Amino acid sequence: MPTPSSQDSFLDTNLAAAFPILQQKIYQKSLIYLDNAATTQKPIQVIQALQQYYEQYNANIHRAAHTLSSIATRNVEDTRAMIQQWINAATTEEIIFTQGTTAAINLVAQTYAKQQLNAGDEILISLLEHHANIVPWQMLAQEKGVVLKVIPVKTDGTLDMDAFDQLLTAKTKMVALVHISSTLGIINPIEQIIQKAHARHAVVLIDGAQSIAHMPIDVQQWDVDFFVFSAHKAYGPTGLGILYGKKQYLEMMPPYQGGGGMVAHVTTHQSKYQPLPYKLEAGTPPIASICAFQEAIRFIQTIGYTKIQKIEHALLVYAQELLQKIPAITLYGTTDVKKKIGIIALNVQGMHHLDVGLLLDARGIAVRTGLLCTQPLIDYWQVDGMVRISLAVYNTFQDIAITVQALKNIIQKHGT
Amino acid sequence: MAHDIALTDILQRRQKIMDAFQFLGEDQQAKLEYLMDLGEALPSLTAAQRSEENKISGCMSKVWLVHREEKGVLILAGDSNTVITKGLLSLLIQLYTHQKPKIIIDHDFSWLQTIGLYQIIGAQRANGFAHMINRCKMVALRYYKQKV
Repeated sequence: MPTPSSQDSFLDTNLAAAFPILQQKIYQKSLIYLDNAATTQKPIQVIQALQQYYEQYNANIHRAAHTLSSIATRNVEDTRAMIQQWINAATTEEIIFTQGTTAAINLVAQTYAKQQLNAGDEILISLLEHHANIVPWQMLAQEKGVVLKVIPVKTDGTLDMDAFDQLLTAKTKMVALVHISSTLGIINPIEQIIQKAHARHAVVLIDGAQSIAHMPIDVQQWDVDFFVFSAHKAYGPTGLGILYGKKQYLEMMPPYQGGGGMVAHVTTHQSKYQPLPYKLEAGTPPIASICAFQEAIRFIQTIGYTKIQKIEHALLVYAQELLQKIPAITLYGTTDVKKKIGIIALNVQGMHHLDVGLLLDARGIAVRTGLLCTQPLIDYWQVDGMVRISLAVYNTFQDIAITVQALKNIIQKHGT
Repeated sequence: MAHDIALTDILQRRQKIMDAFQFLGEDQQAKLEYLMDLGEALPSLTAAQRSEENKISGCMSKVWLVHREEKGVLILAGDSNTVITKGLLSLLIQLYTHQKPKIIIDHDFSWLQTIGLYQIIGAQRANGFAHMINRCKMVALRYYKQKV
């Protein structure tokens, strides 16, 4: 199988070298990690930053008078400022640390939406959503009598924009939409959607879990009201999510969890809350993860989104071309590389996705199989699961070539 | 005496499985292929047999087990929608079919650790496999109680 040769210098970079975990063998085979939509691996800088935190300045933040606490506090606030600039938020007060994307969506649902929406108001989601952007709204619907409406997809998996136009009415108070589908890699036209939603005075939350590592984010240019993502899907540590919210909306949000760090003055019967962002950050946050996330952001910024997109695009084109040549493989959703990022959902004819996943694992290749936390979308194709290949910037043409060859071998032995 | 013969029989069957895995050694891929071969060789159940009642819950894939008693021994058959799981089920059936209920109830499965089965199938499937073993033992117990 030929590997594309190119004059482009980007093909020469060996980014995987910075990732210790990628150097190991699984069942005596070199690990090929293609489950990046679930979580990306961490470069050595991030791992070292975690260790450095525990070795040199582990302390609780915003509280103590001692030196270690002020170093930790400054580092946490530095990360906040970095994220603000990274996604182009107007102020650092608009960056809230959460446990993850899921926690960020739940926070908005349980505070902003719970307070501002009334029975009969409508929330629009889409069929492409991850369960994390379905269930919190279902819970709210049950609790408040809010109505959940779902934007369907077309047969190629892209959002049905005509249906969106129909569903968006004066009753729509909130649109909660995934930016990039975690199952199909399809990029939704969020700028257009935000514009249309705002024309109807609906507030828009965008789930950016799959976009943050793969394309530049500009919350002000998009005029998005809430934007959420997780650090661990962008080369950062686990346990940390980011909620961006426009200040006007975050200020409307009542505190969700009470505790230390979010209060200015407490008597046994009443408390005065801290201003943003602290009022929404009760308790000790994952300080080590927040500090180390700086290195992940630096990793992305050093390569640059332009190069990241170029590399991942080339890998996607290569992978899809090879996979489309295999008759026994069904690819789901559009293969138009202008409309998607490096996520490929597939099935092998006559084989169960779990079997394919285990057979790939035995060859050192890590993919995701099953419902992929997007059961409504999987149901749409009337299958009981899929195999998902998802790329990151450290993947190589060789990774793709080996994986496709492995799939061919598996099909030859076990396919029908 | 009959009991001793049955015991010898299940130990022999166990040894056969252990030998097969020993032969495959450290080759993960070969072990999976072997399980798939077993799965592919196991006759499928009819659509009617793949009922909700016969389904074993707690598995990642769909698994069904049917059973009947004939002359004091239990006769088992099963099916799954994934081939590797069907292979695992096939191992269980190899061991347990045409055995007396008491033999099935008493059989200790800790030897599975020694063939590295759990590394091959992963933690989630190991959990599902435990559910399959459990179902076999519960079925055996039901027949055993009817006799006593």
